[in-house]
Amino acid sequence: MAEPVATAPIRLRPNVLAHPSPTTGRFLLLVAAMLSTGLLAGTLVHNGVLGSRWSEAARACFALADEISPILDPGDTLAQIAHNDVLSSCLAPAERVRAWFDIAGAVLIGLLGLLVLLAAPAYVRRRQKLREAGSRLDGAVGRIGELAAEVGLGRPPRLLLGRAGQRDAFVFGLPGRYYLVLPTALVVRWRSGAYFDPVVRHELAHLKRHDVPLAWLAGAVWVAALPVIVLPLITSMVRLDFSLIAAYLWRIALFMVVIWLIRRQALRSREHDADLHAARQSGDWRPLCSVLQTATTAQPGGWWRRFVSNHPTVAQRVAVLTDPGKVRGVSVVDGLAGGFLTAVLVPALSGTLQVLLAKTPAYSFTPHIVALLVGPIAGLAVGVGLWRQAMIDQVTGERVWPGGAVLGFVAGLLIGYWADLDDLALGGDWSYSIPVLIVAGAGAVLLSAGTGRLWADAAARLPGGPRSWWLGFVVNALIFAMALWLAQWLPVVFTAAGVGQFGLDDLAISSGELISNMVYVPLLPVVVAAATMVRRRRTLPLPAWLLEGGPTAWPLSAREPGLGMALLGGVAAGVIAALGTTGFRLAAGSPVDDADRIGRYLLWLMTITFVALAVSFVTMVVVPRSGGAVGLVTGLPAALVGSYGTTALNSFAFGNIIDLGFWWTMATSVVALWFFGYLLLLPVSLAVWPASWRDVPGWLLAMLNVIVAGLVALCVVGLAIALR
Amino acid sequence: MIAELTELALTTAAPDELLVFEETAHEYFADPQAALTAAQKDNAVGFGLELAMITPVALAVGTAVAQAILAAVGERVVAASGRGATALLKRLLRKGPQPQGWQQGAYPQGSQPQVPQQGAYPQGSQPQPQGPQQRPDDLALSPQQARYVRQVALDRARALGMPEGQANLLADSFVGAIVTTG
Repeated sequence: MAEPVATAPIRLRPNVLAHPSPTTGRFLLLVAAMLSTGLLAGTLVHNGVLGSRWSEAARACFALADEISPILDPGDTLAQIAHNDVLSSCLAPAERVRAWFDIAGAVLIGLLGLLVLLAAPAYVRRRQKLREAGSRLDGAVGRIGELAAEVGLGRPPRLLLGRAGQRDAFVFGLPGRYYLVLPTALVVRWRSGAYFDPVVRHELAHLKRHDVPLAWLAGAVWVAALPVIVLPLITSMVRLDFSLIAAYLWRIALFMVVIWLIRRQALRSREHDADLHAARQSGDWRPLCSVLQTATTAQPGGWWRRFVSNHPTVAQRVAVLTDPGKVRGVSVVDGLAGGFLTAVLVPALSGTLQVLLAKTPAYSFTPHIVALLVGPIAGLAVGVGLWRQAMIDQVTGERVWPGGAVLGFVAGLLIGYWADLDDLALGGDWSYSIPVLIVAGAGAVLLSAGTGRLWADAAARLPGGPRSWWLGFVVNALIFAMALWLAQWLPVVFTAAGVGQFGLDDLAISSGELISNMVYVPLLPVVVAAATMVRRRRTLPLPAWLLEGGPTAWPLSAREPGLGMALLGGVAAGVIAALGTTGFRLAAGSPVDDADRIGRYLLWLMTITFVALAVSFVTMVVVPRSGGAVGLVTGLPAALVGSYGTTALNSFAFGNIIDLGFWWTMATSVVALWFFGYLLLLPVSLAVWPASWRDVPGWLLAMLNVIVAGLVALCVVGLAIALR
Repeated sequence: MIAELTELALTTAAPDELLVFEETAHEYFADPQAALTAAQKDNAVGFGLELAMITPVALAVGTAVAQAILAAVGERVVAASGRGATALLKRLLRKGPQPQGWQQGAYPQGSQPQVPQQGAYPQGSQPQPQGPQQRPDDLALSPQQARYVRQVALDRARALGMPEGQANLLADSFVGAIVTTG
C-alpha cells in the first residue's frame, strides 16, 4: 500500500493593499509635527520682540487682579479661581498676540514648505541634469503610457533621462505633472520586458499610491522649518538673551533628527507597498523579484546605513514579495514614531488653541478639539496598521503579537512628552501626565488591536475596498481621539483632586461629575464589537479581495462567543451586583446619618465597578486576541445593569425617592470608573494573545462571568458587612 | 576616433545603447569621470536600481585600446609613413587586419583564443610585433598584438568595475571590431 504523500501546506498570499497604509498617517503626523515647531519658534520670537510689552501687561494684570479679587487666604480655592479669572481676562489680549506669533511661525513653515515643494521639481531637473527623452525613445514612452493606463493613472508621467551615470529609477514632480526618471541603460532596452516593465510598474505604483506628494511634502517642510527655527536664535542674539537657547537647541536638534529618521523609515515601508502593488498589477511577483536580485545594489554597509536608507534591503523586499504575509502592520519603531509625533503635536496645538479660545465658549472644549484633530491622524498611523495586521493574520493564520506596537507607542508618547517641545519644560508640573499617558496610550493600541481582530473575523461578510476600511478608519480615529482626550483631561482632574485634597473615596464619589464624559468614550468600540460579533457568526471562505489571487480557503476565524451570550453574561453579572448591594441594605438596615449614606454610596460604586471589571477581566483572559474588545461588550452591560438595578431596587424595594438625575449620576460614575479600570486591565490581553484556541463557547463565558461576579460581589459586600 | 572604435565594439557588446551613443559619447568626452561615476543613489520613491550603461565604460576601454594599438604598431608605421596617430588608427579600422585564421565569428562563446595572463605584460614591456607573416608596411595586428589589445581592454573594463562576463564580451568586441572592420 502506497504511503500517503506529505504535502506542504499552502501559504496563502494576503492582499496587503486591501487596507490603507499606516505610513500615510505617519507622514501626515510628521508634517503636522513639523508645523508645530513653528508654534514654538513663534513664541520665542514673540518673547524676543514683544517680551517687554508682555511683561508690562502681566504686571498690570496682576495688580488689577489683586485689587479686584484679592487672595486673602492662600487655602481659599474659590478666591484663587476668581483671582485667576480676572488675571486671565486681563492678559487675554496680550496672550492672543503671542498666539498669533505662534500661528505665524507654523504658517511660515507651511508656506516655505509649499515653496520648496513647488520649486523642487525644477531643482531636481537642474541638479541631476535631467533631459527629455528624444523621439528615438518614443517606443519606451509609449510603453510607459500603456503601463500607466493599466495602473489607472489618468496621465502618464513624462520620461526623463539623467546623466550617463544615472543608474536608479525614481519619480518626482507635482500632482498632475509627474516625471519618471529612468536610467538610460534601462530605457534603451525597453523592449525587454524582463527589466523595463517591473521597474516602471514599481514607479507607477508610487504615483498611484500618492507616495510622491507625501514624501516630498514631508521633506519640504523639514527643509522649510530650518530657517524658521533659526529665527529665535537671531532674536536672542539681538537681545543678548541666551537663557533659553540651550534648552531650545537640544530639543530642536533631537526633534529634527528624529523626524528625519521617521521619514526615512516611512519611505522604507512604502517601498514594500509599491513592490506589492507592482507585482499585483503584473499578476506575477517573480519578475520583480528577479530584477531585485540581479539589478539592484548590494545593500550598503552596516546597520546604520540600512537604518537611514530610503529602501529596505533586497532580502527584505524579496521576502515580502515572496510572502506578503511578512508585512508588519505596526512594528515597535512604527509605534514609537506615531507616539513621539503625537506627543509633540498635542501640547503644541493645545497651548495655542487655549490662548486663542480664551474667554470664548469653545475654551472648555480645547482638549476635545485637539483630540479630534490629532486622534484621526494617530488612528491612521497606528490603529489602521493594527487592523491591517489583523486582516493579514486572518489569511496567514498567524497571531502577530501587538506588544511591540504597544511598547513603541507608549515609549514614543513618553519621549515626546519628555522632550517637552511646546514650552521647553517651563510649563506646569503635570505629575499625573505620565501614568495617564501610559494607560491611555496602551489602552488605545490594545482596544484598536482587539476590535481589529473582531473585524477581521467578520472579513468574509465585508465588501472590501473603501467601503470596508473607511469604518476601520473612523473607529480608530475615535479610539485614539478618546485616548488623547483622556491624556489631556485626566491629569487636570487628578491635579484638581490633589489641590482639593481629595481622597480616593472622594474622587470615586465625585467621578460622575468629574469624568462623566468618559461614559461616551467606549460606546463606539462597544457598538462595533457587538455588530462584528453578529456578522462573524456565518462560516464563509476568505473573500477574494483579501487574497492576492491563488486559491482561497476557510479562514481561521473565531465565531464564538456570540453577542447574545456575551450580553447575557454581562447582564447577569450586573444583576448579581445589584443583588449584592441590596443584600447589604438588608443586612445593615437603613442608613443612620449622612456619613453612613455616603459610605453606602461608595460601597455601591465599588461593588458594581469591581463586578464589571471582573467580568471584563475574565473575558480578556478567556477570549484570546479579541478579548480586549469582547470585554467591553460584557463589562458595560454589567456596569449599567448593576447601577440601574441597584438604584431601582433601592427605590422600589425600600421606598426611596425616584430621582432619575441621581440614577444617571450613579450610572455615569460606575461606567467612568469601570472604563478607567478597564484601560488599566487591558494589558492582560497581551498575555493571552498568543493562546492557540480561537472559539470560546458563549455559555461557558456567561457561566464564568456569573461565577466571578458572584464571588466578587460576595467578597466586597461580605467585607463591608464584616467591617461594619 | 575613439568614439568610432567604441561604436564598432558596441554593435556587438550593447547594440541597444547605440540609440543614444552620440550624446553619451559627447557627455563622456566632456567629463569622463562624471560619466563613469554613479549618480545620486537611494532616491526617495525610487527603485534602488543599479543599472549602469555600458557605453561610458566602453569609451574608457576604447581609449585604453587605442593607446595600446598605437603603442603596438604606431612606432613602426609612423616611421614608415610619417602619419599621425589618428590617421593611423583610422586606417587601421578602415582596412582591418587579416591574420591567418582570424575571421569574423572566430570567437564562439567559450572558445576565446588564449590570452596572456593578467600582469603578463609589465608596463613598458609590450610584445614587439614579430613573425614571418608581418611586413614592415602592414598595419594589421598580429595575433599576439590582438591578444595584448584584448587583455588591455579586459583589464580596463575590470578596473572600472564591470562584471566579468560583460568585461569579456566587451574586450572581445573591441578586438572583433579591429579585426573585422574594413
